[in-house]
Amino acid sequence: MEQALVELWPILLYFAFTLVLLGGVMLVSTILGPRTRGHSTHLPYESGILPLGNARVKFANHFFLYAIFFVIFDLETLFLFAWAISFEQVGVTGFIEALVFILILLIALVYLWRIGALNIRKRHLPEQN
Amino acid sequence: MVALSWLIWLPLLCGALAWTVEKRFQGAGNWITLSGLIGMLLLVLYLGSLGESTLSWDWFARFNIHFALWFDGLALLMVVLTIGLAILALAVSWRDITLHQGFFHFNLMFSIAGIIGVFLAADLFLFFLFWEVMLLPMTALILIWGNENRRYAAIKFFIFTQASSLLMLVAIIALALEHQTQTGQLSFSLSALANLSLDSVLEWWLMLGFFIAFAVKLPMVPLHSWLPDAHTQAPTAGSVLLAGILLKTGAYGLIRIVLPLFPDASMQFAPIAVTLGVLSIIYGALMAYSQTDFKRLVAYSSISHMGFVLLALFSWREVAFQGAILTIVAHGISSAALFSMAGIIQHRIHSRELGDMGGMWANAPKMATVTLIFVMAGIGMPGLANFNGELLTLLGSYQTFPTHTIVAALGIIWSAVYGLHLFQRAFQGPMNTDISDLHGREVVYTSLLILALFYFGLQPHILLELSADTLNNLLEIAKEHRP
Amino acid sequence: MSLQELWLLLPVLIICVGVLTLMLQAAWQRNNVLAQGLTVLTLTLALGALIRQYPTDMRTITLLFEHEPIGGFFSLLLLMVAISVALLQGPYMGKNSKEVAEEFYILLLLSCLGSILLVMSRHVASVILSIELMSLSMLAMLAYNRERKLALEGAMKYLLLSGAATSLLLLGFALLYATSGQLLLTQMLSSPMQLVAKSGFVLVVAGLAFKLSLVPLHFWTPDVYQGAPVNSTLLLTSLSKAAVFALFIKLILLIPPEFEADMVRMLSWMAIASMLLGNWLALQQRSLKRLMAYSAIAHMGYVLVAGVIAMGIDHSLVLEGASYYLLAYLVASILIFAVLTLLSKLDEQQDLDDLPQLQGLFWQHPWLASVMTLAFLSLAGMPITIGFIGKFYLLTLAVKLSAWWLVTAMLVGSAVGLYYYLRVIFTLFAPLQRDIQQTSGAYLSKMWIGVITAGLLLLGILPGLLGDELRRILAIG
Repeated sequence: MEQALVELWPILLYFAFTLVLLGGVMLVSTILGPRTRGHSTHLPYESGILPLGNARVKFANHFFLYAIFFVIFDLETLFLFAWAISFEQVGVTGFIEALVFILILLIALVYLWRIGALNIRKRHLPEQN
Repeated sequence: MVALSWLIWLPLLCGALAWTVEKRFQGAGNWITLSGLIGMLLLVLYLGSLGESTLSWDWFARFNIHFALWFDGLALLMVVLTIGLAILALAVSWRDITLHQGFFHFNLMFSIAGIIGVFLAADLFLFFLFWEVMLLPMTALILIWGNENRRYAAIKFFIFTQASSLLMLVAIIALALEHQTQTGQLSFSLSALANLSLDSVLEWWLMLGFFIAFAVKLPMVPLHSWLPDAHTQAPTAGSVLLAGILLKTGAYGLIRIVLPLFPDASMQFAPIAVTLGVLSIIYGALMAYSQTDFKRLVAYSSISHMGFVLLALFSWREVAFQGAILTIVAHGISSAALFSMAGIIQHRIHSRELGDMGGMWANAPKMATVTLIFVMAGIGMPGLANFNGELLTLLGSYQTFPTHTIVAALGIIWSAVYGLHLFQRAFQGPMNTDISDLHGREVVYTSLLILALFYFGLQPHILLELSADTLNNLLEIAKEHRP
Repeated sequence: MSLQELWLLLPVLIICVGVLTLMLQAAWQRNNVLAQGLTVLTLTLALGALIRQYPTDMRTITLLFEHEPIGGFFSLLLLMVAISVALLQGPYMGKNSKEVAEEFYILLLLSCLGSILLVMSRHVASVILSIELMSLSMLAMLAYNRERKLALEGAMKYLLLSGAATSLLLLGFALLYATSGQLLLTQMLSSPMQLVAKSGFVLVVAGLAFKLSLVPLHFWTPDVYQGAPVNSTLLLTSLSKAAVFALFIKLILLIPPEFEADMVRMLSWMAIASMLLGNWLALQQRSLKRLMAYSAIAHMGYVLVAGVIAMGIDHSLVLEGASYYLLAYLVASILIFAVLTLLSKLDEQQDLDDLPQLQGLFWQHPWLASVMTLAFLSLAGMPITIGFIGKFYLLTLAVKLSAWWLVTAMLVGSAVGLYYYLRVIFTLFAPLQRDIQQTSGAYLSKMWIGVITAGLLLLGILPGLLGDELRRILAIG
């Protein structure tokens, strides 16, 4: 047990620290957070026009799709960057590998394009019900 | 000898053939199965005339497992009994089965193949394989063509026998591994394993593993509870096979494996085994007396009779061994005969309750006479086969276990009580039901059964000569190991 | 990477090309039959390539992968599973499905790719990448019919829990790396293990145990199995289990001797608990998929026995036993789910799953019911099926090691297992109640099922065919 403690103390400390941090943040925000108890506190605007209709508006996941495409294709260019700066060292093999890589990316792009994932839909909001 | 293996392939082929042909030609399955069985009978008699023969093919070299068969007098006896009772099972269900006839024959023949395999196997792995394989078609027979409570009975039958045989599997593996530690090579061959000298603790446990599997099949109180259900719910053909042969595989396993492989342990264990055997005799008899269901009564009487086999085998005396062999054959015939009578009656009045019968002698004198002879055989009347077996059993085991033998003798008295009780309730007294007498086919096979019972009752030495080699071998082992 | 290494990677490359081709095909013109044909073609080519250059010794392919016999054998199994799924998807989907067809095949190839890479991995990075490739593409297949609520629920559960498991795995590897400073599996585990490293290894085992659904990390299994379309369940129960087990046994064999005693104790308890609990909970299931889920838990417990024993005695018999048992399990699972697939439709809200729905199948579709009966008998370990030989191997191993606790648990588990397998079989043979529709046509799929069934019987009746060769195939000893 003694030895276990000696060996494991960094991990235990890490866990303890995480717990303290998480607990602390929650505790502090409950204590320090501003709190008002007006009758219209829970309205979206304390002054102004009252909201109309349901506040739970769903956004089509199309938007997220664009974001994800951006991230994916953008990240993949990073690999190309890594190849570009070591172009001299990796030589022809590297060049072929990069070509294969670009080809795969292109096929993926063609696929996305043809299944219509890149079309901007006219209607982004799902039907209201 | 290759022909030996045909005893196993032939029923498999016939079963498959009967199933396919029955789809085209209604009723052809019966004839195919019958001709297959008769062919097997001729084959086995031919093989028997050639004397002892063996067969060994490489099968699973990694574990040194062989497809090995061994055919001697005892195996001949058991195989002939099996085929004979299979023909009886076919005869009693000639017209009884109205549903899925082809599949019925398929299952019948597959279980026959499995049972014959058990009797012939000379390799423990192969023995186990057949031991399990014969159960599946038997379970199907109970499940598909059984009586009202068949599902429950089939599950119970299967689980009891399977769970116990798992213990046997572990024991087999442990035995083979012990052979490896002693000689450097794995072996599942019975003859090779017989030469091992086992440590006494190990021997005890291994013996127990095998014994429990065989005791469930036998069956021995308190491992018997599957039997009344399975026998009662099975179709007539199933009951005939179960009582006639399947129970004998347990006894056969004791003779072939437990006694010769583990002589010391089984001698140590003998008092317990014999006590349980006597318990089975008394318990079976008492329970049989209190039954109102024809088949259930016969089922409990089977427990009682198989108790004699257990008593005889663990007495380790020549006379008792001979008694065991005679009881095995005689009970095979007489219980199968009684079950087929139950089937005949059930087919006519759609009930197995003794309360629904009564006074049937008036309408069916032939049936009554035949049943009376079967009952008399069951209660051990001199001149019929069972008498010799029980007499020799009691004579032989009296030398080793006098007290047990005296109690067992009481069981015979009880068997007379329940046997006559059965006959009296069904055939005498006020007439409860209108029943037609035996017709042609039934007369033929019942009279053949009566003939067999008388024949073996008057000429038991044939059975003893056939099994002499095996028994002498056991006695030699006994001489070496007796303390 | 040399050309020779590329050549060794040929099966993997073929699958990659297959994926790209399918993507182009989907982009060019959608066609179910064409997509299925391309997939089967790809997998068959990969199988051919794998057999052609079946490894006889170990060769490394770059830092990340290795080409060796055990991985080769498992890759064969994985390809067999993938071909089954691909062949079954056609009839399951039908001609006019609401869902698109090509993506399923793309995902199938991707997860097959991941699983094959997983069994070839020798480096932490490749392990993590391939295990995720396999799981994530499987995830999409689990919810392939988007209109089934249960499928979505199951997929969501799988996503969250499998994410948690992967993070366990990662943390475990991180701790191992922290102490050893190595990322190659062999080097990582060969350095002397301190407590930190040990706890890291335990976490890795936990992460893998989740994928194998071993007790106590089995909770997700029944829900996910039940919800998913039956063909995807087949993939989940066979492909991912086989691949993860291959990795698992590789890791187990690398454990340094001073840590063995602890691991034996821990894994023994997991195995015993899985066998008993899995079989016990399966007893009362009405849903066949849930039943199969619990049965999978129990069977993974059985193969784990081989893993436990691997640390105790000679490795050759253990590897043979584990391989044979896993093959038996895969064959039986493929057959059971294949029959269910042929009786269900993807577009319907529910698969044929409830036990009473199968009542009397034997009298209406004798061949399908016979296949299913044989498969269940094999799972129950009855002789003349491949399952018995698998059980025989494992029992021999356990008896050899005198691991009586394991033997007892195996026996009790098998005895309990008999009951519920028998219940299913009895249902198949009960009197017919209502009409059961099977997919008509689909001759290719049915032929494939026939081939696998023949294998199940052949390897059960003549175990020597594979059993005597296994030593050479796995190139051990």
